[in-house]
Amino acid sequence: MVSPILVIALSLFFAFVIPLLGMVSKKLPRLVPPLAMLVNLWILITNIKFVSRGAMLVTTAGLKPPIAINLAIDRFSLLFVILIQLIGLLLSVYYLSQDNRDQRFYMLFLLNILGASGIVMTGDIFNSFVFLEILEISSFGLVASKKDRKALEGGFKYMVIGAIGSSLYLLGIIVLYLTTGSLNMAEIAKLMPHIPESIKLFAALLLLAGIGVEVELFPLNAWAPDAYHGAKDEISTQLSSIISKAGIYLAARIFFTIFNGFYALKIIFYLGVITFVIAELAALMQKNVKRMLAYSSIGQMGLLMLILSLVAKRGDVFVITTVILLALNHAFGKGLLFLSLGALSGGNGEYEIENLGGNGRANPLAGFLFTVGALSIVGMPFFFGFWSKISALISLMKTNVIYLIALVLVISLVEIYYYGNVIVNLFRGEGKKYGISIVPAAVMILFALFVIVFGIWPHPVFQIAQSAAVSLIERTTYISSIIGGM
Amino acid sequence: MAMFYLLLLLVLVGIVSFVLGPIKVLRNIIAFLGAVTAFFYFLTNIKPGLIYSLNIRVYNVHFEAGFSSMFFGVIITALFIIFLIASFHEENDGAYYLFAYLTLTGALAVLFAKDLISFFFFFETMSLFSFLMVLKGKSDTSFRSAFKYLVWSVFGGYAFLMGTFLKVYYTHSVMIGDISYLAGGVKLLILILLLAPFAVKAALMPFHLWAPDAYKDSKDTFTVFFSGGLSKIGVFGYFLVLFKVFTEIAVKYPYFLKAFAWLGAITAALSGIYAFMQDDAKKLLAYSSISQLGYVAVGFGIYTHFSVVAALFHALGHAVFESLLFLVVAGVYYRTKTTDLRKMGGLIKRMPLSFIGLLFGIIATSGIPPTIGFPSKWLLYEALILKGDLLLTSLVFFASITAFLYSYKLVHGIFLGKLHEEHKNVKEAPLGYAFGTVVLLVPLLVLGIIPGLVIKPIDYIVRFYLKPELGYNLANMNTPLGHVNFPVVGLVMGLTFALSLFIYLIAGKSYRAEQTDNYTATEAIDEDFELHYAGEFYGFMKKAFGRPLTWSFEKILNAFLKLFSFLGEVARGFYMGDARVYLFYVIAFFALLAYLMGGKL
Repeated sequence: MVSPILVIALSLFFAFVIPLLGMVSKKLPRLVPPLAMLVNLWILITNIKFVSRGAMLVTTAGLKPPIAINLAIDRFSLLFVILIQLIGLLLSVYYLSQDNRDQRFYMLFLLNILGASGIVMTGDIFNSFVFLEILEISSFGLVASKKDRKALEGGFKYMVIGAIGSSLYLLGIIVLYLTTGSLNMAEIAKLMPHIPESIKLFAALLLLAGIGVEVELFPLNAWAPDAYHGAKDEISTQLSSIISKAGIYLAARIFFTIFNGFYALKIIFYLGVITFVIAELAALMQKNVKRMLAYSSIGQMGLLMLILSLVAKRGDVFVITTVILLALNHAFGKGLLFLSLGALSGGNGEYEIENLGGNGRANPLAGFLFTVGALSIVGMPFFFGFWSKISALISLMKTNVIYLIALVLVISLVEIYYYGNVIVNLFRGEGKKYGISIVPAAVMILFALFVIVFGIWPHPVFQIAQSAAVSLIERTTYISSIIGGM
Repeated sequence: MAMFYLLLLLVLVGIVSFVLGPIKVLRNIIAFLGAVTAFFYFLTNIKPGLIYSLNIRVYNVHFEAGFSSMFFGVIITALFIIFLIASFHEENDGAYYLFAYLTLTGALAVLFAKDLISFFFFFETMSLFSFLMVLKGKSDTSFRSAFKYLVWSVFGGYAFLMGTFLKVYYTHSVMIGDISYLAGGVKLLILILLLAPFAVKAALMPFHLWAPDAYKDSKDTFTVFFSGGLSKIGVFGYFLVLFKVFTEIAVKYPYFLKAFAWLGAITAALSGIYAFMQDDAKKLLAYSSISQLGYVAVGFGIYTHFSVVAALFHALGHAVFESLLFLVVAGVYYRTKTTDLRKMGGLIKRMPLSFIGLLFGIIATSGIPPTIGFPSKWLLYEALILKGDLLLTSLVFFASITAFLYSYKLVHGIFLGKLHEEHKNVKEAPLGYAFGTVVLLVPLLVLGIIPGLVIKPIDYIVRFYLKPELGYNLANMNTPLGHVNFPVVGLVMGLTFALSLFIYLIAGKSYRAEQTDNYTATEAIDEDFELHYAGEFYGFMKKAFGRPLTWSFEKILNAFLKLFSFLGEVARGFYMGDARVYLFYVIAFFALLAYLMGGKL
């Protein structure tokens, strides 16, 4: 068994190695991230069989949990960290074909993945704040790395909102620490019944502010369209496929495992509905395809959070399974959309629908991939999105919020409308032809294969998602496996 | 298993044709053989009552072949072969055939599906791939039409899904089964929601807005299958929902049925009027197709044994004569490169077979014996008269008058009158089109004379649900209103025709004119002066009906779209600020939360 803590340590090590390698040769730094991701994935995969129903405990400094910082990895976290590392690997392979990048970019990229993985693996709430900060600060850098006006604007907005969110998050941690005297997630969860209601609520709201920025919940997501729009296409992929996934994990872990449902999930429910409706309606009127994808991404996250909050009504494994399915569909489908949009626009920042007209016909591969991504996101049959959307509706039915099914379906029709409009325009008339080199094409095809193969045969993904969901739902097992006895 | 093998076969043939894309001859052979094999496999191996369930681990897909699925399945598969053979004359790539095969797979799977989720799944499959078929259409506007079609079909699909979830929520069963025991308005809501996608597919007003454009802009040969075949899914759905899902509808909601019949009649009449206003042959036929499907809805709405028999028979008739008309127009387009009635004329001598096909097609459309259009209309009128709803009856009669008007416009515009200069060397439509024309003429005439051949299986479908009132054998029918012998009717019709011909031949003083001759009174005009009269054909009618025609459904839809645009603008406004504004959102949000939660803090 290789200790999973190496995932964090090695990522840091590789990040520090990059400038040294950069002195040797300009070409070496870009080889580092794929290598790091491969090693990390290998470490994580060797650990799969050791992670049983409860959490696997990885101690640091040789002390037992309530005192020392520890990693706590159950199947739910393992699924998310593997997802993050996998998408990271795909993206870093994608970067291999680009030789105009600064070496600092690769450091930021590695730190970003490190932050996301850390959030998912840690069992310590203060530690999660540290990783959240690493994640956010590196994201600001990544968004702004394009260095034009739009990118800087997006990065700046993200930074302002993100900084507020994370300081409120820190405040929430302080409140919890004051009342429980512990920073260990399991310990806090164990002591949760003894905390007065009002303090619980106060802490939960503060933590929600920090997480809300990451998962793009309604009033905290104003940065997202600008950041997605300004950033490079690959960075937008990273924002939607990696960073928001870490946010979902954190929301589930904190509001379900620690707070055990509670009011916060009720607030998330309403915020999720509002986010979903507003963002999708905003996307409807958007003429800029990239911005439209950003709104769509926000809307999907709203749906995800809405479904996640249903777990409070009924501790149902199926609801969490659905959350995972939606997250996977969003990670691969939306990632594919951003990447293929980059290929369709030739990377020159022309994302207006009129400018893209006919480009799908001129670049058949990119057009096909964009169509696959869009069809999966809207939930057409034979794509993975179908299963996640049907599961979402079944979850809504199981939790007796039948009126929301109508809402989700109406909004899905809105989605069909704007995605259909883009697809139709992509294949209309004569467009501009841009070449696509083999490495990015291969990466995009892998993204597409995921949504197609598991769209036709979804069973393996359902099984994995279900076993991960079970380990989240059984919170007492999680708690007792870390600090014992409950 | 047979049903699964059939679907698998279709998917595989589609994929193989896609892979073989560039090798045209081989691809066409495979595609053709695949369709023919599927057809015969269907006929020989699929029997009513066959059940199969496919476990894909996350879900059990249930299939069941019933009498109705057999009936529509045979129609759809046969039309698919006719479409396929004609389509080999067009320039198509491998993907086109893949999409075509997947559309057929989806359609047949919809017919077999026994539970609502699989039904939705295959319905969406069919919608998606037929959308791609329309997207690959022939003109610049096909993109717009395809988009419209997609949004409408998905709208129908989602309404169906909503109905599915309501049904599952209240009955705890996902199978297609009776809901009439449910309390209150829920069952009516479920009924309407489940019926919506079929109203879209069968282009029942006001769900028809996609149809004229999509029919016009899809490739000509595909329109044959699209209008004749895929719209049958809508009719199948009417049957499914009104009989299998809600068995006691006639007792519990007679007004719903009445409204349905009225919608059908309005569709038939209004589309008929729209049809004779069109100057484009395909658009005219599209409206004619919608109008004919309106009769089917009327038949279902009356809900007696022989009105439903008439509706199903008319659905079959629609598949035969509407496909025939679209096929002939496709052939004409292949030769003349136009479907604009104003640019054609006098092709009768150039394309005689097409003319005969179109002639019998329009005779059937108007419901004149001895063609397939006659028995169903006869039965439908009897059912209407027995029902005693005079207004409805007169509206349906009015609709059949429009059929005469647009039929004449069609045949006149294309085949009669003066031959155009540029069409002097036009040849008969190629073999693929001619084959389909001849094949479709057979049932068109045979079933008009001995309708009992088809009445029997249709009666089997309906008998189970409604008390049989109709006596029939191969050539006769006994209804409460009397008795009709179809061969005799046909014979009388033939004799009348022969008599008129005879009188025309012996009594008429005719002058033989060339097709390109101009003939006017008093004034001399040039040889090449355009005298063929096809545009604004029923201009006086337009004047008469002009005002009501401007109250189109499209305006209501546009108002609805405007509402959504407005909401979208409002939503977008939220994200238009700078960092300070967003900061304000965050603070305001937390202030609000603190206020709302104040009591608990």
